[in-house]
Amino acid sequence: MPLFRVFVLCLVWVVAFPSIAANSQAKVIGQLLTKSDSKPAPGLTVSLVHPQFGRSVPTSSDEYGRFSFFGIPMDRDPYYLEVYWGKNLVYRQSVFISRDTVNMPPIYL
Amino acid sequence: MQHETFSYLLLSGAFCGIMMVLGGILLLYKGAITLGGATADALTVEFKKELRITTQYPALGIFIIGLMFVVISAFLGRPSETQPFTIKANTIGVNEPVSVRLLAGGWNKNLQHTGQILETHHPYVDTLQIVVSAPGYRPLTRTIQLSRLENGTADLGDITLEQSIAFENLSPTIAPVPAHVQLDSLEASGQFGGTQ
Repeated sequence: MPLFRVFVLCLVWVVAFPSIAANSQAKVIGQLLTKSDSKPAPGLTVSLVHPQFGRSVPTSSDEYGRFSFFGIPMDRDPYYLEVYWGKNLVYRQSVFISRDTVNMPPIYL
Repeated sequence: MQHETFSYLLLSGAFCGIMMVLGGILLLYKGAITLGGATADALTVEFKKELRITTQYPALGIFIIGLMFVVISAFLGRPSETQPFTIKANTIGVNEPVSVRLLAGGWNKNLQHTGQILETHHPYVDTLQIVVSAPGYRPLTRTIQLSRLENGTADLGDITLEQSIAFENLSPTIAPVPAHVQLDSLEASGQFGGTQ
């Protein structure tokens, strides 16, 4: 019986831990600038991709090149931030999302 | 609070209807009522001398009225639907693919809490921001009210976007992905998260 209780506890922990981790969500904020003259890069499509969770809802950079995401599940595996000009991929970098708010340094394109 | 009261009324109505149907079945089982033969005296219901319903099988009335309670509760309690609408515009001088985003405003109440927050919100989407953008162009934002649209169409007219940078100004930097990692394509967007 004690062995059964340990088994049940382990099962609950294995099932619950990913749910608990997935329930922790973060906000990601960033800005796109041009490498040549540090001008804001507006209208570009930005999204976060995770090997397990898939691809986030995309956003587009505003007139100041800023973008933001919310409700991003925290995970110990890295996300990939991708920036598209139309359908052309122009930037990809890995990013770790492990705290409530991730303020990314300016991204120079 | 009003919405909660209405929800309780709907639930009560549905519960009464179910009880009437089950009660009718029980009475049938007990033999207190029968559906087999017509009675000599018909049951007549008259409303303001304009509407009259007559039946030779009064026992059926129990089931019909009970069913009406359930159906009316289900009909009134159905989720409200947001009506679809059309966005119409014409972009001028934009040489890149144009995208359109819709943003809804927030909802808040000026309530004070003393530690515990317990609020019920009923989001009603009427005011939307339409953001028209294209790569390298400054986005254009227009605000519309769904309740004031003509023929369900938001006509933005001619849109001119101001170009800020060109594709040639960029220096792509694409980090490689490990071989064992598979990433979904851009078409598979929308699996998690939200944006502002």
